[in-house]
Amino acid sequence: MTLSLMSWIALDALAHRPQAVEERLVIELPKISHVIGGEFVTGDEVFTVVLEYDTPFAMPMEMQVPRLRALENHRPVFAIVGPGLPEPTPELLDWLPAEVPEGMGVWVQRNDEPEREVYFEQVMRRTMWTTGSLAVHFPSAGTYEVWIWSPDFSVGEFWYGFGVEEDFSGGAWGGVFDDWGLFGW
Amino acid sequence: MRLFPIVFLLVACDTSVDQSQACAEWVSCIDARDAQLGITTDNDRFQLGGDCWGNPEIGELCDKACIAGLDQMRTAYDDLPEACL
Repeated sequence: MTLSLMSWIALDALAHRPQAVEERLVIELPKISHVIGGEFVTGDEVFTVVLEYDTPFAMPMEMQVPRLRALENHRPVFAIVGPGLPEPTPELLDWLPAEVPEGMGVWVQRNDEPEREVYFEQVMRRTMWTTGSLAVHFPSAGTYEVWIWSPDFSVGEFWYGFGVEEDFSGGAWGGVFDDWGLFGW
Repeated sequence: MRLFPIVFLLVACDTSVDQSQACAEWVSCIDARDAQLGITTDNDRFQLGGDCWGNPEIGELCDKACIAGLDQMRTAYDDLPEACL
């Protein structure tokens, strides 16, 4: 019943392929939209999502946090590290959670707007704070890493979403039920 | 006459929206950037008729993405083609 309801809702709403974050998560279908759910437990975790493209590519992405009083100061960020991206400034290099490999550039979403946009996610029916969506141009074929971390060491859940093309073949909806605590309510 | 309900349903179910101005600018910018760099970017979703325009929710998401993406491009690169400025 729940699945059929979600399938019906998904016809007219953006539905990302759900997946739980790992310390290093390689995305098998990086051109398909995903939502990567995770939680900062200690606040000093750095999660890496790996996107590998066979051609230059462009898509939107954003970082969301459940709109809960307990998370009002929780502002996880992401940086994209890979070939052809802008050269990082010394200030940015100091701020990043890891060393940028030689020759790689960086895009960053600092999640520092004073007023965060509120977004009602229609498939799982959850209200989220979002960084707002950012179109990103990956100007080279190759491997890009998305580093997700919490600069203020705040703890709590996050959803990192990217892409718009949907594909739920192969039981991709299963991620919702496997990790209900991350995606459900 | 018999086709009317089917045509009506198809029209009623069409939730697509127009490509936004910001994403038209994003597409022009990336096309020009591609020419500058000698590459071809898969930018299909933002283009006219792309997946961004399948329904209002996705359309709004893409529109905001294009506005923010163009801003970030302009801040990050000092050699952008005129179509990006």
